[in-house]
Amino acid sequence: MSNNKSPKLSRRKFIIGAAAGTTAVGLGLVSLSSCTNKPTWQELPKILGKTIQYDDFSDIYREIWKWDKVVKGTHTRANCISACSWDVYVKDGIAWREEQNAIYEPPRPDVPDMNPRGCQKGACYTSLQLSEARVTHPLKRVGERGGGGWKRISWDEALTEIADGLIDAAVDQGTESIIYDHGTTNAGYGPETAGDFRFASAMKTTTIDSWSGVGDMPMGACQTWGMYNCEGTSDDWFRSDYIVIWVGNPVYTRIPEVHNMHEARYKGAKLVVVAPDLSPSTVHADMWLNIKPETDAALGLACAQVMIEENLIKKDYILEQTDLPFLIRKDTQKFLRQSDLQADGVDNALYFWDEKTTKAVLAPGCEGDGDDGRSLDLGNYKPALSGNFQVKLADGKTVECYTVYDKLVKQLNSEYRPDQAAAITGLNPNLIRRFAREMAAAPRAMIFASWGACKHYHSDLFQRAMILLMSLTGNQGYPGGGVRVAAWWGLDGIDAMMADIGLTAMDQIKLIPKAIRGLTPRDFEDIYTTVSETEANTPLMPFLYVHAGYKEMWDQEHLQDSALPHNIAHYMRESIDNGWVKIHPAEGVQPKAFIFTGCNPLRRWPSSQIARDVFWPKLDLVVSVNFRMSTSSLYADYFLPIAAYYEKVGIKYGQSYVHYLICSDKATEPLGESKSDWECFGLLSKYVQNRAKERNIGPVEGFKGQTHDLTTVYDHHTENGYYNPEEPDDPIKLMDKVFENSPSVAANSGREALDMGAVRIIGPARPSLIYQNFSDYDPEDTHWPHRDFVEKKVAWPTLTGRQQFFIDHPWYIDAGEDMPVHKDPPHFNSKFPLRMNGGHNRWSIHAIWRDHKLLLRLQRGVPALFMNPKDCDPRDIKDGDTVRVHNNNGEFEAMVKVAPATAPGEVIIYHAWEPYQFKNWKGQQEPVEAPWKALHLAGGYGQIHYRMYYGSPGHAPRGAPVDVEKVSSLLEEKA
Amino acid sequence: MRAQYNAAATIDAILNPHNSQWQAIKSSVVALESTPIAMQPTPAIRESWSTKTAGNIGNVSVQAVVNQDLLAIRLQWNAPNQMVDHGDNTVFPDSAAIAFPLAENAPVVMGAPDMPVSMWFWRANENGEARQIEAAGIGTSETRNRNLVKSHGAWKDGKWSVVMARALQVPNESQSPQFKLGSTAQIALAVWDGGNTERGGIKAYSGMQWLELILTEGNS
Amino acid sequence: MTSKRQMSMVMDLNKCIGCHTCTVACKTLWTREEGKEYMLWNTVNTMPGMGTPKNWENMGGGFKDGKAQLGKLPSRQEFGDAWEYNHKDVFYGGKGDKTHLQIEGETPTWGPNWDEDEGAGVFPNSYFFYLPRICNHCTNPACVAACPRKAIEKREEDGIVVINEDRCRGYRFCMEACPYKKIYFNMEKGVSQKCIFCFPRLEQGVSNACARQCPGRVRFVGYRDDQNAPIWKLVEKYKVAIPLHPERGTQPNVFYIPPIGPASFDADGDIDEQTPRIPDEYLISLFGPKVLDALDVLKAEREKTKRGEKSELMDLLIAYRWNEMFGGFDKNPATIEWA
Repeated sequence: MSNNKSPKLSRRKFIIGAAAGTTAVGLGLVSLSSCTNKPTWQELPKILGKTIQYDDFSDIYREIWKWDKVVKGTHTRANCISACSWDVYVKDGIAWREEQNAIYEPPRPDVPDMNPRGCQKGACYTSLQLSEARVTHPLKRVGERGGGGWKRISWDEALTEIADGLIDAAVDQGTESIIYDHGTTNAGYGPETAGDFRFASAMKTTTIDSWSGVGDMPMGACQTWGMYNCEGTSDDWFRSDYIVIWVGNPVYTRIPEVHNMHEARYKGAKLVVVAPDLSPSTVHADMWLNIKPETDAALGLACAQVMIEENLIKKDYILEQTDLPFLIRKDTQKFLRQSDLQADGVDNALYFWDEKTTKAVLAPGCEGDGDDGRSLDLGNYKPALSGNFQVKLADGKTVECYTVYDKLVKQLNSEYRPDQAAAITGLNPNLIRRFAREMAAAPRAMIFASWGACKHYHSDLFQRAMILLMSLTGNQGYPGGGVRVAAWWGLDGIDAMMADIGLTAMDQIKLIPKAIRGLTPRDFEDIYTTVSETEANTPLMPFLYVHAGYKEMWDQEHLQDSALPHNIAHYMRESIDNGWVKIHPAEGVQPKAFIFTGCNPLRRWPSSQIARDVFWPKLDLVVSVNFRMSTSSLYADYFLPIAAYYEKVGIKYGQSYVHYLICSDKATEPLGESKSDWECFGLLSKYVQNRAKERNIGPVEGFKGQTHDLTTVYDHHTENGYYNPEEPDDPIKLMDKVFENSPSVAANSGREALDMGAVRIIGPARPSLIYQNFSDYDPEDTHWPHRDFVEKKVAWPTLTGRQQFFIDHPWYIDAGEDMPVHKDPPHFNSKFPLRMNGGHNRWSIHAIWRDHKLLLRLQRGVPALFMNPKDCDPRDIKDGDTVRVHNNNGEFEAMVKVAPATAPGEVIIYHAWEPYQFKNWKGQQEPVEAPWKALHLAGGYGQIHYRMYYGSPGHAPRGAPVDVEKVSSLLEEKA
Repeated sequence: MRAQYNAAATIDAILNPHNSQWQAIKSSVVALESTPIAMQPTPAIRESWSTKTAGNIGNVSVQAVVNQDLLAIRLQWNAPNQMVDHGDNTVFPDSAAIAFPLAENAPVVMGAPDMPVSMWFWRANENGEARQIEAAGIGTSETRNRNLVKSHGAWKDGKWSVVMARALQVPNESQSPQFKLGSTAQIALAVWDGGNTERGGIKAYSGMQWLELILTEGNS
Repeated sequence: MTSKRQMSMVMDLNKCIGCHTCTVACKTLWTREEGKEYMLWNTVNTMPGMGTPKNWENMGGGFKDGKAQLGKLPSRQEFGDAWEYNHKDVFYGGKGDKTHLQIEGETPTWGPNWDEDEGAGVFPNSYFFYLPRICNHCTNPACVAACPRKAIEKREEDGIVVINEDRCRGYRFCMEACPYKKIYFNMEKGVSQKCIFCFPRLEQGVSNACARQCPGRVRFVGYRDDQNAPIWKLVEKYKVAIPLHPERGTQPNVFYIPPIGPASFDADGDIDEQTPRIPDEYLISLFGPKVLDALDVLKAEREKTKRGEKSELMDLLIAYRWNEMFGGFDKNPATIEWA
């Protein structure tokens, strides 16, 4: 029951890497990859099909398997995490069927190759793009929103009316009142996405930062590492000796990748699953830890206790790579800081005890080490891992210090011995010990923690515990080792997506000295934060809190962390006032228009009934841009029909699982009047500019109160006419720019990339915090994260410069989370007896494919949930019954699958059914209150702060307390 | 049995099983029996049907009309459960067949090598046409023609009425029986009760002996 | 009826993830026309379960004392129908949330993957695994034995069992006789149809769609007697690939690497090394008693690799080079041009 994830790369993400890189490159300070001479690519030789004819019935079958041409395709904006190249077979002018383009070469001989990447969903997109859900003409709502009344209008009418609506919003409340959301469904690396980004940037809209909004923010990683990218290629999993699937279900969510785990077993690896239910991923596991939901941190900490007590830890790694040797003042329970020791000392210089000199010494690599905190090299220091040390402060007072390690051990020994953890987790203490010992003994152990590990209230604590285990065992940064969530390929030429790259000339000049001495992860982090504040990005949960009517729900007592002294409202206020959390449009400004591309807020947002009933009525204009009808589209005022994936060119976002970047060529023309995203958004900018001129619209209020000129929107969008989105080859022109400027991948041009389909990664791209895993790419090796830190001793982008387990931010101390701990979620004692869990599912990518007839046939055909017989029997629920799932917040009805594999006490409903698939369109999110942690609004501390797509509140859809009652029986219905 | 001469009969009219012309035609009732299970071509069928009742339809009422142009035969039998369309895998359509020997001494049941039989075969889901099928031994039947023989079946009040008709002579079709007024044709009849999953060799038939059908000449 | 050579498939149940890419690959290639809508020549089921068609293991068929048996004829509903939906009404019907997406017509009570991921046993010792199935292209096919019209051919050149649709008259004795219930009836054409082992692809040197498109890399393809290819080694040399329900007497040419489930729990919730999670009796009921020998070989070879030793068997199952799974049928179809 886990989660796939839905990465959303934003234009910002690209820019960050790009801007910093461009600066450095411009100055000749960063050498690019050695692969600037790209290999020449040869198309596979064609063979002539043999003529075989039997002159009988069997020739019918021979005739079926013939085609006119083959075009490389993929599902560019489906937002599935695995990029897969497909051969689209075109026959009689239609994309007839697809089969994987299985040409992947392994990087080294001793790992399995990656063929034939692709799943059942990709294998039937040809039918989805022709299904009933496909929309092929612009539509305008007739009657009430959501009433299902539409009329067909022309593109000209639609664009004119939408442009006027956007202008009206901008004139009334400023451009930030136009909300643009690409949500989870989205963002490729090329023209399929660049149009939206250019439009939003040219318009100065508010952009929803949905990364955490969909529950995909690995906050525990941000807190511990100052970053969260921690994956490599999936063939690297094959090199592991001990693979732990922990809050994840790769059998559902990593269909093209998971064979590496199963094949690793044949190589001798052990596969372990930690999950409350016998999830599909346990089918091929060797050992299952059937943990009680939401107690994962306790398990992790108990394992740490065992490893430390039994001396199974890697001390050298810990001393160099973690903050465990750092000194904590016993009196204040805070780090010993330079500002404690010297009158002019800084707050971000921290210490460990050097056993050689028996002194507290400034820890190399920490933020304030005097050398910009660049290197972890300990030199001649011998840090003490443990001990009581007397340190004389600036005021002459002597204080006693101990280490983070000591604090940890004390806590582990008092609260997390296996017997104690057993009471929390429901696991046998011997099983916990066995797990800890095996993990520590394995030459290489890894934890596959998917994005599902971000969707529980205290997910950050799970992750801090998991990272602790991988640090204690010295696995983070090594092949087949460490915590793995995700990472992306960098692509330098991606700058081309945007009309400009975000940093001012002054910003760039300021970078020169840093560039001269070499940019560090922390520098990239700083640049990123700077750039992130140049546009109106706003994280979703705070946006919903301020603008969409969610405050009333989330302020309720039962959704608060009882350990905190204040209600979330208090922290929200403090965070806004401190400028920690970014709210756009500002409080008091009304959102007026909402444009969403592909995403589906009324399906995805928790308690989406609130959005529908409170947020929607505030909006004068709602526009859905999509190839398919979604629930949110049903509540839109306009629907702009977009070309399907095989009807346009594009670059799939590059998750690092596969050693290739995947591109999609145009197999057939767009159906009906549908247009590519690139053309659609180009036209939208053009119409805004033209209407603004025609209506004599003067400057309006733009980003943060600056003025903005709507009569130049299209000029900006097209770089003063360099692009013409109405030209059929314009998207390839953009792709040319991307590939010509990307030495890290094998294609030289857009056309070449499209012919390849799968474009080999051949070297490293410029570094960027947002997609980087800080490992150089070696084409002759598997790829794994964090090599720079362990191999080059580069400092981590955290306050301590290390994997940081002690966070002495005052809010964290208040919450009792300065160290990794286990805490019960707010709903722990809810009177509702069952806990609703879920996860990304086998059958859809979010809501795409959710209504596909063939795939529905391979399920129950209607929304269904899993319950254990122990919960069904007392409720008189039989398999196939329709039940009502409810709590005080909401309800929905679905069919029950009675499953011995489901844990008693759990209701599992997998991801992303469209509300329109439920009775009265009451979807599975209605009872989901999804509280989130006030701590995630914290800022002003090293790595603890918000920057776009980093460090914002992840909400908790998992574990929603509900009860279930029978509504009707399948067999009775039939009778 | 006699095929009564009716100069006015046309294929279009006579194909209607409820056409009033049929009322004047004398009918003969032919008793049917189950085809011997031992003659089923595969052991699987023999074994399976050894304990089941095959040949559910006990008798069929036969009428025939003939003139210079055509021979039409109407079969009627009681079939309380009309089975027409496949509808599901488990549904078998009701069927009927009229067999004619193409060689002297051809065995009634599916002929034999060098002694083929020809059949007119009507199946409720192919109403309108009747396949002309030829067989020279069990399991050898082949559809030769789907246009030569016309058919129409109608089910009413628990009873099938099925007419199959063909031109008396057909152009140079050595594989088709040719009929002459005044002569006697040999025929055999078979009916399949779809509701009893009868198909293939599982059927009711008129027995091992050919029946005689006199094609009367003129208004005798 | 003896074929000169026999094409064969081995499916590794320790790698099958139940994703149905095989099902979809087959569907989009062979069964999209009218009359074939409900057909899934390839299916995958969660086991234990009633599967598809519903309860097929208890529908009879196969051979008993050397004699072919006619079992139950599965209905379309038991296979699971091709449901149609009211999309248009929901999207454009003007009824708003008063109408939601529903299956048109009668509410179905079964489908081809109805018991997906439910499992058997008592939590936390519940268990399940995935079982993909196609026509077994048996050496002693019950369908061929049952057909009164000699309409089913076992191809001499490769042993593929095909229904001659020119001869088939839709009697469906084959459907009754097949113990695996992998034959469908085309109600439009009035003929029985089933997996053709992708013979048009094999003729061009391309492996079967279900095998070649399997992202779990589950399926090996090739001639049974090719001693240089994986099939022979898995079936004959190591004897780790065994047929499904061998007691039905049809001598299938599809073989399975049996599943090794995770360790079970003892009464205290600790690992019980002695009791397999998937009960032996259950596996024997599916694969016959030889399944235990196969499991022993697999476990012993895996112990070797755990110790760092080499194992040809484990290397084969890892399938380092995917294209080598296909016994020489390794052409890339996208490179074929039709004259």
